[in-house]
Amino acid sequence: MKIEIKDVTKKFKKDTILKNVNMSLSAGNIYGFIGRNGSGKSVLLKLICSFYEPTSGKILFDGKDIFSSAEFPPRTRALIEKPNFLPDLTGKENLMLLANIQHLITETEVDEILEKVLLSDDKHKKYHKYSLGMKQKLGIAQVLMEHPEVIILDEPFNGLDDDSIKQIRTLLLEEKKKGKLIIIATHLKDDIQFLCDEVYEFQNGVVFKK
Amino acid sequence: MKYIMIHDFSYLFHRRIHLIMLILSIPALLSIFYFHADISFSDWTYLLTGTNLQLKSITILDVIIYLCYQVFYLFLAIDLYLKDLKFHLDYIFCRMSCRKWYLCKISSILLFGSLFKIVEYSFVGVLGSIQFSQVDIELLYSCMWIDLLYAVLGQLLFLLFYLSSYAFSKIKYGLFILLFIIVVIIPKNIISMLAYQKILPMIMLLLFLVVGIIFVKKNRKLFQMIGER
Repeated sequence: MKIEIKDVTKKFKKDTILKNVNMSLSAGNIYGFIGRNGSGKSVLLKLICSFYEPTSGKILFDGKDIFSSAEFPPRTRALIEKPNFLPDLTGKENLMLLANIQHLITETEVDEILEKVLLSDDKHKKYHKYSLGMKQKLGIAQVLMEHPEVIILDEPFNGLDDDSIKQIRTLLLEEKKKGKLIIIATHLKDDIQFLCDEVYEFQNGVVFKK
Repeated sequence: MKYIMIHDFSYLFHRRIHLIMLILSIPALLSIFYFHADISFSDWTYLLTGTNLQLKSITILDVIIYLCYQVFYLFLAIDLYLKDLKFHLDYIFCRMSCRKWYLCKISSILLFGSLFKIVEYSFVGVLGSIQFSQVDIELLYSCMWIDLLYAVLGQLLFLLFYLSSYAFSKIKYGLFILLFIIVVIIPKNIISMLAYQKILPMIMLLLFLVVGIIFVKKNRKLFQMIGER
């Protein structure tokens, strides 16, 4: 999988959020987007997911322009918004409900991902009883569980304790070894330095490769 | 389909339960108000359901009842439609095509709308059996059927104009004028629509297709503009 971002500019009315962004992202790497809140990281993630359309420029997935059809990029999973699950269902039931949309994985695989994100002891607990960190881990689990080729995470370490951060980092490195293309946006430089092969810094709509 | 339905049910149950209870309590409140009124079962049913707005003998209460029901069903459609576009883009649209989501969402809006109508008319039936010696089930059924068609027609029209105002922002004011004209000319007496009950489903199907085409073609613009709100 290769994602090419070519001269992408994004404007909201008169505000230019991203100016002529160019990037080439390939499988088997972790890419970090850093920058202050409101610097355009999340907007670029939404453009890559093709939820938003660029004002100008192109985004190619394996050479194919993702905006040429109404569909969204295949085999891509993202956590861009806050984790948002059904409060009356357990963590596992929530994941099963999502897994049943496409039927790509079995219940055993859902159990496995819950174990990997350190939620196996709490998988039968109702979501509304989850702490902020547990909700975040469940959000990450829904991204990873269906073995996507492209993994997009916006501020994935928000609310996580040290053990969970270490575990999620290990998990992401394992996914990288499997050849996945991973993009992480954060305002914390520590997360990025440990994990990423390439880092892009966002400043006032301009993106610099570090 | 299961995901959208369960999600919508949970959302309504947790976030909109007070509004739903309020709307469903209207027949009970009105039946107390009209308890000693000397009227037939049919007139009583029309009064409680706001379905027989007669311009010649209109009262403020009739208008309020009519508006309460209509605004509730319009709000239900927009609310269920927009919540996914605002809060669940990443969960839903990474797994589901726009066409599938649209089909599921409209089915969900229809299902919950029908469910509320059935509960509303069941209340009317139960309350009617207390006040009247005989309840005309056939009248209740035909009234519920046309009321449901009217509500769905309103929902689809409202969705059409709401989404169009975002998708075609340059002609926004033209769309508002067109909507105003439609609101003025559409019959307010729901029972009178029984005469058109055969063509209403066809109009609704047409509206369903047009709204669907706008959504699929303009999905990214809608995500962005609705997300910015």
